[in-house]
Amino acid sequence: MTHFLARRALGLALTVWIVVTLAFLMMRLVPGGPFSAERRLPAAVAANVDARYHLDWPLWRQYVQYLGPLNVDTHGLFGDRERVFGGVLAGDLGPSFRHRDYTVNQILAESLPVSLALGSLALVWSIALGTVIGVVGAARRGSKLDLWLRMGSSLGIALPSFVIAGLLVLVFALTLGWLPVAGNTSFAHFVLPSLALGAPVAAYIARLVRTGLIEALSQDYIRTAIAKGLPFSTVVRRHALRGGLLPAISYLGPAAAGVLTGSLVIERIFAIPGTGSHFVASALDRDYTLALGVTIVYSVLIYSLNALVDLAYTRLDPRIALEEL
Amino acid sequence: MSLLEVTNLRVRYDTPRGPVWAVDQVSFKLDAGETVALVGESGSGKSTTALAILGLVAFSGGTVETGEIWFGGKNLLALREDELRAVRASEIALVFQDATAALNPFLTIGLQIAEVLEVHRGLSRREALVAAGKALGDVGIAEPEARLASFPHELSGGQRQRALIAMSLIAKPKVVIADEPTTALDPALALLVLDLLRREREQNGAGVLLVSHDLELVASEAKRVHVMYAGRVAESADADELFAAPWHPYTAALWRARPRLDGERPKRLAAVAGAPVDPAALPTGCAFHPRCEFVVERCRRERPDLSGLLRAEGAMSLRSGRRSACFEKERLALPREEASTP
Ligand SMILES: Nc1ncnc2c1ncn2[C@@H]1O[C@H](COP(=O)(O)OP(=O)(O)OP(=O)(O)O)[C@@H](O)[C@H]1O
Ligand code: SF4
Ligand SMILES: [Mg+2]
Repeated sequence: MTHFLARRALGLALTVWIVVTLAFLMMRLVPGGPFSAERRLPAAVAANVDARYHLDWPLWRQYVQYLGPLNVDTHGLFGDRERVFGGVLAGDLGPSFRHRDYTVNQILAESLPVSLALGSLALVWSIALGTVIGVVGAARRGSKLDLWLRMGSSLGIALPSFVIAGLLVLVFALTLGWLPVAGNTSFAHFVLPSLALGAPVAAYIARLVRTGLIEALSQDYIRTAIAKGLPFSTVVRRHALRGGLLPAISYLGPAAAGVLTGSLVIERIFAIPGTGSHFVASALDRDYTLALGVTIVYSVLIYSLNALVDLAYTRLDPRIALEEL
Repeated sequence: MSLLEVTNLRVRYDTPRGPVWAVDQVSFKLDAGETVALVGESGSGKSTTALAILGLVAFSGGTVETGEIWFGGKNLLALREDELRAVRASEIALVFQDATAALNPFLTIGLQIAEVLEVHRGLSRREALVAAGKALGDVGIAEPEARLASFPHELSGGQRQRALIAMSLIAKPKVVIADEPTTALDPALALLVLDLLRREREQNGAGVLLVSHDLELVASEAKRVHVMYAGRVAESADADELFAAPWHPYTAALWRARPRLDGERPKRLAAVAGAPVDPAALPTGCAFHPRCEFVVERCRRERPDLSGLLRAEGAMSLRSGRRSACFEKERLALPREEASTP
């Protein structure tokens, strides 16, 4: 176990470093800067602003400063303490270039909990519902019910989330008036967005569980279990479910990361101040530090969730040893 | 009355190429304490027959069209699913061929054995595990209690095979169906399996239905043999009679083509000349006629029924119940007579 954790921690550090470096370079390669979209600044002012954020530095120096904690600021560690930021390794993601009075840390501290809460809610219901639908579909394979459930899942996968969101708002908020249209001030505000956010995940899980379970049910050892005189429900629950769930579980790593980090579309529609909208906006605005900050959070999340999935795998399948992962 | 009696069994699989009658008009009996064998080349319907007895053909997409399977005064084919469940493993057990595939890789050996007793004998998990440990010891697994917590992949091939047999036989079934129990095994392991099956028969009086394509094995183990070809029984006879003088050209060819004792045990049934029959496109008349050296005109038009000899010498066959589905069986059964008639 410690072996596994140590290796994963190392892997995480390496992955994040590579992601940060690539993102850092890529963002500088696209033309335009954080301030080029604004009214043309007088050349002197532009130079001032650039100097304030060290955009006038050579790239390598900016990179070293960004990573930290090595300080290459002209003012120096013992200078006038005007260092712009301490660097990623010191846990300081720097100031936002666009949200002038905020640091990236502040923005994330405000928006990430919102996205995480919404995403967890979406995950919980979509995993539960998707699994149940998948199991029912596999157990009643070929029945009318199975057909309907499969059609439902196909819709959930095919429909874009803004369509689902729109339909939900239309029915439950505008027509029935049961739930608020938008905002994030109460639990009720989270219901519709979590439904819209989780719908494709639930549909995908339903499909993966169904095919996984059908595959598992066709194994020789299932025939053995039936030949032992076990009730079908026991055969499914005890003998088929573990194997049948494995595909859905490997999907869950990336899916959970995607849902937890928030979706731009859902957050826009429901006016939820989550991280998802910041990610896209920051990239478009060339808000370098914010975009990099969100990227770092995302990659940490994705990497950790995948490690979690691997861990779950070893719990489910005794043939996979933790040491080999 | 026999322990198990199969009459007129007919099983259909619907395949993309049309319906296949994998088993057709198959009848046989099995008594307590005896071994009866089904032999035949690949695709002759042996496994399907075995699976039909426990109502398992639906699992692979087959349908039992006609037939009766009498066991303990009940027709198994007429039972409800829950009644049939009570028979499985408890009264009639299947020993599957490939232990690696037949054991669930996700569950411990102990649980897989114990659950048989839990469901059929109402034991608690704890009691059932104790019994499972004993059963593992009985089939010769060292440190049986420790092995209860092992997963199948943690055992050697031999241990897995032993565990599978312990699992199949733990509820002391009256009928044991062994489908190719030795085919994939090395000789030492094959001997072990046969030994365990024999012990079950001799000590507990179980009837053993042995499904195999290994003629040597069948000749040494079985009292009665049913040779299957293209889903039908080609010949039924006591083992000693059958191999001394086959009454069906297919049996004769099989017996001639069998690998010799000094050779290796065959993985597949030794080749009989001619192409194996395609069950989706059965020849007219006798299904064996394209490969038969005794073929006559009638064989291409009519299908021979399974029956004894018509002549006086056939009276013996009535007593022993020996039968062959061949128009020309007299030529095989009474070769001397044929030689004397011009
Ligand atoms: N699930 C299935 N679907 C369609 N056809 C099947 C199925 N299982 C078996 N068959 C067909 O039924 C026939 C009999 O098969 P069966 O497995 O009973 O033969 P077998 O005598 O046990 O052969 P083997 O020695 O290869 O095990 C074969 O022609 C096979 O193609
Ligand atoms: S019936 Fe005719 S074809 Fe069939 S086995 Fe007998 S002799 Fe051969
Ligand atoms: Mg078979």
